[in-house]
Amino acid sequence: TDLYMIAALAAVFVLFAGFMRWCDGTVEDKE
Amino acid sequence: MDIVQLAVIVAMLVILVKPLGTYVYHVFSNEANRTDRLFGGTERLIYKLIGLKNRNGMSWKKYAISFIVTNIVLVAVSCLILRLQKALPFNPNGIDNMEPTLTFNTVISFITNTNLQHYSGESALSYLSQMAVIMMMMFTSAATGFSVAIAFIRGITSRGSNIGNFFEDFVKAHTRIFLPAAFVVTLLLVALQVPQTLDPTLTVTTLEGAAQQIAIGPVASLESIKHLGTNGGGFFGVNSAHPFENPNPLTNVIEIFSMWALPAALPYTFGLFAPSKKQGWIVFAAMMALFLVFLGTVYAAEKAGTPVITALGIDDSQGSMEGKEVRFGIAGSAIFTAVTTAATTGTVNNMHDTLTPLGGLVPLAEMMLNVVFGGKGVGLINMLMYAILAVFICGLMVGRTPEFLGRKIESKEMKLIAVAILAHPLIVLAPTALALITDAGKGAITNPGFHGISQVLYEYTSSAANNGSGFEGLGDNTPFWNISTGLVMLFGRYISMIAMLAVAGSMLGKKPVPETIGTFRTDNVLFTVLLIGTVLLIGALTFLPAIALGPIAEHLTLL
Repeated sequence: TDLYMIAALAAVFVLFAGFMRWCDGTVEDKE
Repeated sequence: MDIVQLAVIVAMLVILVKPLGTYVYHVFSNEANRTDRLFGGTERLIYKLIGLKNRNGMSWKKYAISFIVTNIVLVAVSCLILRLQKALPFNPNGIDNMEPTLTFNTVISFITNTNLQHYSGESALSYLSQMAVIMMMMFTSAATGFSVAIAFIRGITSRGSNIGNFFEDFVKAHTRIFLPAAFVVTLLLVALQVPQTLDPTLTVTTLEGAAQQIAIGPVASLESIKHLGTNGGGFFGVNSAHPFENPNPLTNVIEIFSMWALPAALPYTFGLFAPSKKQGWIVFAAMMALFLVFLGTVYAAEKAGTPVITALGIDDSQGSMEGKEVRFGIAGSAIFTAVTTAATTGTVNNMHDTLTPLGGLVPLAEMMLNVVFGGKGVGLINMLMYAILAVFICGLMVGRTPEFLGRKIESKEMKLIAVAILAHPLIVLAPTALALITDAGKGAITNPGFHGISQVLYEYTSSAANNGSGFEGLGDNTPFWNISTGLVMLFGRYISMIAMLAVAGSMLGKKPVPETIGTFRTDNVLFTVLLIGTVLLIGALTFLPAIALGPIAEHLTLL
């Protein structure tokens, strides 16, 4: 269960990294 | 007398706003000031110890990555301590290691400043865990929220070419705000008979000759930062209703100010950065107007009592005292409830599950709006997010390019704000629906019917708003609830923070737009009304159907 816990936390923070990339793309959007 | 008591507390808060807001401004303005002499030496030593050689400003991305990675490290350390606490020192009561899904929930709960507790501290945590995990994260999560709020303010007020250095802000929030304040409040609480000891649980003989265990511990030091950091997680299971956490009406008022003063002062700090004090007071006025409506509602609802009890011929002239402490009464309980969910602290001095339906609607609604003062820094960020939205909507109505603080608001900022605003109802309503259609979710409901819906809705709203209080009749220490609320807390904390830092970064690079006679003013009473209207409109559109199924339907069954 500890491994599942670590995997779940890691997955969420990877999602946040993806969200940050999307935000960066939005901020840099020249359109 | 109740009304006088409430009015004095609100008036004292208003008096505190200007000096506190000014102090916070001087801490983070990065201009030389008198506090440097007092704290500068300690800070330089900390910078040396953590290897911070370069204190240059950061881009919004670097700032966001810095605070998230710092939080990840703190989560990892905390997980280890909770899972190994049985073998670690300062465990005089021999408390076992924490179960994995409960550990998952607990570390997320405290790193996100939520402090949702699916355990009772006196039976689930060693003293080391209380101090090195719970108290440590109470300081660091509050300092993180404060730092991000200041960075956001720097971005939208465009003071300088960057939004500051996260590590410098993070250290300063500790050394100049939370540590000194916690030290003073701890001493005050100890003077008022809140325990502070590492002695194990006491075993005493009662008047009837039975043996009784009385849990004690380092309560006062946790109690101070619990409120100052708008954390809310109690040393004991019943939180600030416990006589060791909150022994008398004076400690009750100290705890109210501890959690309320800093979030209330932040709009004034924002005004100093803007630089327009009037702009800060406008935001404060919107928050206070909403708060007074909620305070009046919960006080009136609890004072009126429950019609069913009255019909039974029971004297309820004191009001609905079920779940409340006699030493606080209706007024002391009502304002604590209103403040703890306005400032998203989540500490409780009465059981929210036993509030009348309309009384229980107040904490629920405050957490749904999440802008009535709000938690450390996050409440101001959310309110300013709504201010930008209000400007945008007004700009659309009058056909002008929307501007806020002399910067044009464009589609990219609105995309980010829309995501942040819509994420909140999504992470509340979707898991609530899931819990209500699955056996794993429904199994926790102890009060079927409309109140059962309220219990589930409250749990996820509290998690998403990073509040942490609960309708504690819900049997929520199960893998389903530990994992689902854990995920909601994470999304509730980081999505809006990341999106708002991106908005700050976007606003930072913009050229100021000269003010003209046609510029829509955001520093007058009209804007306060528009801001409140925008908050209520979005809140009603997203949450009213769910509220109608919970507390409103329950209220109608009592009539």
